[in-house]
Amino acid sequence: MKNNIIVLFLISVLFSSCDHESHKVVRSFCFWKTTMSFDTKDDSLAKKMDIKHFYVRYFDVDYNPYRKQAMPLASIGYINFNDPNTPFTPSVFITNDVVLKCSKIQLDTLANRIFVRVNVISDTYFTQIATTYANTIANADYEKQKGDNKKRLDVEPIIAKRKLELQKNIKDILIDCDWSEKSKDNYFYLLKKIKSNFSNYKIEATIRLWQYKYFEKSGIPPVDSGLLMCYNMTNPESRTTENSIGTNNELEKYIVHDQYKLKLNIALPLYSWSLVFRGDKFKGILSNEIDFTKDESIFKKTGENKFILQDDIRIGTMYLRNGDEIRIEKIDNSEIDEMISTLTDKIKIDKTTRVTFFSFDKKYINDYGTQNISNFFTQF
Amino acid sequence: MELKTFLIFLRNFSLLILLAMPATIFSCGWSESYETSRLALFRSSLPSFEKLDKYIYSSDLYMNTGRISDRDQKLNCKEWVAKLDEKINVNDVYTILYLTESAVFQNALDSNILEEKFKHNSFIYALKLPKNKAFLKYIEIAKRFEFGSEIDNKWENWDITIQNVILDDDYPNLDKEIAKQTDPFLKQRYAFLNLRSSFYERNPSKVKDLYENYFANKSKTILAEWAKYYMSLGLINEAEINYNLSKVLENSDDKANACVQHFNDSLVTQTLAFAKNDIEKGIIKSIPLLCNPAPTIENLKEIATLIPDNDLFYFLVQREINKLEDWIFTPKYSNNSRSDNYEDEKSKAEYDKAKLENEQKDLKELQDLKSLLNNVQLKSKGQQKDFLSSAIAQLCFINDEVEEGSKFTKLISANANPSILIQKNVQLALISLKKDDLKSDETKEKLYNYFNEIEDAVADDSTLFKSMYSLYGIASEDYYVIKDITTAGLLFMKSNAKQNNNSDYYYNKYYYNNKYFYSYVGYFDRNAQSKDVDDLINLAQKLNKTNFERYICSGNIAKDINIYRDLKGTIAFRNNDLEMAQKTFAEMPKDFWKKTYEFKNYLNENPFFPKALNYAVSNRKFNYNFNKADFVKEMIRLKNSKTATDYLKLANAYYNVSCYGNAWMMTSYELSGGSYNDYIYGDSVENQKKYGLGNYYYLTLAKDYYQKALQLSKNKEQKAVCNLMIFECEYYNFSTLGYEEVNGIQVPRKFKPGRDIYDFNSIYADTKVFAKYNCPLIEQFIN
Repeated sequence: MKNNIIVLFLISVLFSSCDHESHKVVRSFCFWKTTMSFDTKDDSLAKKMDIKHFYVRYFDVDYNPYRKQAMPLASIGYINFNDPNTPFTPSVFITNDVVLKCSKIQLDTLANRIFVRVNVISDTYFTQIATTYANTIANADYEKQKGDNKKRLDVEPIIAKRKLELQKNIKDILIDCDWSEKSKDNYFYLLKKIKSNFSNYKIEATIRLWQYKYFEKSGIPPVDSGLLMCYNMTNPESRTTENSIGTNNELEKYIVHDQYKLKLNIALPLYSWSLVFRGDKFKGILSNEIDFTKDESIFKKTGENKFILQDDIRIGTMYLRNGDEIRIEKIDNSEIDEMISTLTDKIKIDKTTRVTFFSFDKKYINDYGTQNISNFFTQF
Repeated sequence: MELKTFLIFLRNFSLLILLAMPATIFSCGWSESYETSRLALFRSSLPSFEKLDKYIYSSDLYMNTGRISDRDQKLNCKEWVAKLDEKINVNDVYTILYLTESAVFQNALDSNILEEKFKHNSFIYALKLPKNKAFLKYIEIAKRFEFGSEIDNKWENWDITIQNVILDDDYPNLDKEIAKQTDPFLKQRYAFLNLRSSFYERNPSKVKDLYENYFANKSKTILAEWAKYYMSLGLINEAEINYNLSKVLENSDDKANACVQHFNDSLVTQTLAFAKNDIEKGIIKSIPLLCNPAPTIENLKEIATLIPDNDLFYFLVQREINKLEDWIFTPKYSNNSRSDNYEDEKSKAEYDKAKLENEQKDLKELQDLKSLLNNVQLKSKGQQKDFLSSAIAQLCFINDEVEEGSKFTKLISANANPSILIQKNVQLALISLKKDDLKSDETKEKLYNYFNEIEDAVADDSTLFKSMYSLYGIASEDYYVIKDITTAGLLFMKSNAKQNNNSDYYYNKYYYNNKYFYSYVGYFDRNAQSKDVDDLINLAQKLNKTNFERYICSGNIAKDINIYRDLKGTIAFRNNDLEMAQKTFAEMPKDFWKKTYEFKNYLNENPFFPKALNYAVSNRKFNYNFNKADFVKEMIRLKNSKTATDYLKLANAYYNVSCYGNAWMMTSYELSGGSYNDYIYGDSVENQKKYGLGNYYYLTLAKDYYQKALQLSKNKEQKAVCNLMIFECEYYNFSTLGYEEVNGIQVPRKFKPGRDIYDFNSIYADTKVFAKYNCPLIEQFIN
């Protein structure tokens, strides 16, 4: 008996000494562009990383001062997952201005309009896939028939059945808003309305880091889950910023407790950009297609992620001058590892937790490498 | 086949050449747009030219400079400052009126956060003062009317099937607003809003009434010009419309382009009937010339008498000089393929005659224009005088009158406007290139300073890239003439890069992403000798470069200096200087050819087995560990041993380093001509014919060593191979030569096999070599 107690004690010590238990999380990516047309290469990338889910931005909502109401903009024009059975979450971004300025009645209307618009966009997508599917079946059936009395199948029931199946790919709706203390009540009111409209779906809301840290002030949104956005931590336009996309040091300043009373999914950054400064003045953002290390006579490396131009050059529409500074911002693998460690330390992770990367772009995925990204997922 | 401009290099002063055009591939080869290949160095301008940017001479329909004049808008801002408070920053007014989206402004106003949203904006602070409430209200209403007409309108409808945002009908009643105002400034502004809305509502009579009541003969405001534009378009008499448009063109930048577009050229005579003085007549007569691509010297002479001090005349002078540059320079310094493509001599002669006549006509026009400008300059003043000095100098340079051109360049004053000073820099650089000692550091420093000035100017006007790449091309050619190949090559690359800068697509696609091995050596591959490459390596490695050296090296030097060593060794090998080639290659890392460029794909077979005999080899191997230094070392050994076996092996090596062999990359960076590189760097075929003392194309050395081996050998099998390979060499040589002249006519050559193949087929018919390599084709040749 005494021995058994010692063994149990040792086991408990062993387990309690572990930082956290590793889980098989739901692997996800965000898709935030205005058109989506996945091809086999995209599918193959997703398969390599074993991606099981996507967040797809459907549209934004901003306040139009002349119409005195919230209006949509930048809607996604086209959706096409190469694999039609891909589960995804439609996402809607709402500016804080909308929630601040709309009356309760307007928020009711807005919730209804969001419901209709999300459904119309989804339905357009599903109809397109289901129609292709039904026509393929009908054509094959027609070809099979012999003789002069060939009859074409009625595709409508096939379409309807296929759409029902496809609708199962959507289980929840994400509402993205950087709400403030001032807009909290209105926003939560809107969320409740949206939730009651989308009665067959779960509702998820994005949570900024400050909203997580100061949850007593910002409140916890009345939804089924939250998506904690762990990026865009500091001002990119400041020359002194180390890395505006994020650092673990910065993240640690926010993830200071484990008291958040909402099931949280995690969003991490997977992008990079290059910022140009002339003196202290921010000049703009460069795409990352240029390899600055290629030509030292033009790009003199002055720091871990900094280059000073040695010559005047034109890149795209930007004319850069000798002396301009370029800061490349990218979170390296070890930094992401540390961020994951910080997050898992305080946030409950289980096998239903979604971990999503912003955003799905071949350029960035190839840059990080599918194996490295897979490794990030396994660390949760 | 699409026209292709082959460039020739004429070694005199006026080497205004385009060396490497951003090229587009069409169905049958590389070509470039005429707008790119067109020569133009003259870009002196006066400030008022900006409104006419689209009418700068171009082979495209309109010039796209990427600039839009905002002079009118700034005038309007100044009127606001004058009205509210002289302390207000004009740029702050500009930010609110022209850079702020209506919805953003309205949102900030509704939230009472204008000061917060537009921090430190003196205009906003002024508008927020209680005494300026009416002005703030006006801005709010003006913004309200602009909403929906903004180009980048982002709003969508909730009803996804409706494309455009449906605007509300609750616009303020502008008639009432006008009536309410007591301040004439605001009254006029509301009247303008009303007038513009009425114009778009197709109510010309209301537009006319508003114009007459609030703008005609009222206080001078830029709004009056805009109002006149809208009012004019509603008139019935087309000549009167023309007349009014000519007046607006004179006074407004914003409406200038629209005025030219609406102007009916066929009604000039009728329009002149409205003109009250010479200035009005001159402007009316000038407008049709803005789109005229033909010579207009006779019109210019008349316009010079009517409006000698009007900037419009000067703009037309700039256009005319650009036309002369196009007509005289382009055919003169680029070997226009039109003449080359004539297949019969008669047509070509006719075209050449016409070309000569045109040239004489153009030169006469040049002299006429120069004479006209000389006369006008006598009475001109200030910027216009500087402009004319610059223009006359350019006409002199077009006609190779360097001394006279220099005199006019010197007349340009130090306080001339930036465009004229840039032109002066271009012209001083041209003079320096012609007259100074190009080798001296002093000249190079001067050139560096001229180049630097132009680089600065390009930041504001990307169309100046044309001047830039033309100038660097000229400089490159002048350094080529004095045999400074390093400088010539690096300037050539600068010109090339600047030309690519002229186009975003090519800049990204070729200059950066694809700046590859060959782009560093392309020029030198065609023009340098080993010593030149030594100079290039020395310059690349020089620590304390001069400004000029640093400038020409920037962006043009490969990080891996072995790229140049490979070129040096290759040039030595081409000259059959095996010792120097071996010594140079031996200085390089052994795995260079495994890791660099295309070597790994084309230097991967046994170079001592002739590729011609691969037809009898069932299992070719591409895993040969190729090291150029070792290969050449072995060739030297074979050459010195003087035995039949070694000569045969050497002959095989020479066969393989020809363009028919498996190691052609020992001799050349590209198999044959006609490539994109030929387009960029010039035709390489003539050079290639000389590679390896003719061996690369004509297998001269290979055949020579096969014959030597045949003479020395006692071995029947060896002799059989030699005979077969001599036949191969002769046959490939025949296929390269192609045509021969018989009685003055080009006819396909007939192949006459030598004795060797008959011997192979008879004396050596019992050898193993014969058994393995004999084929029915050989018999066909014999029979």
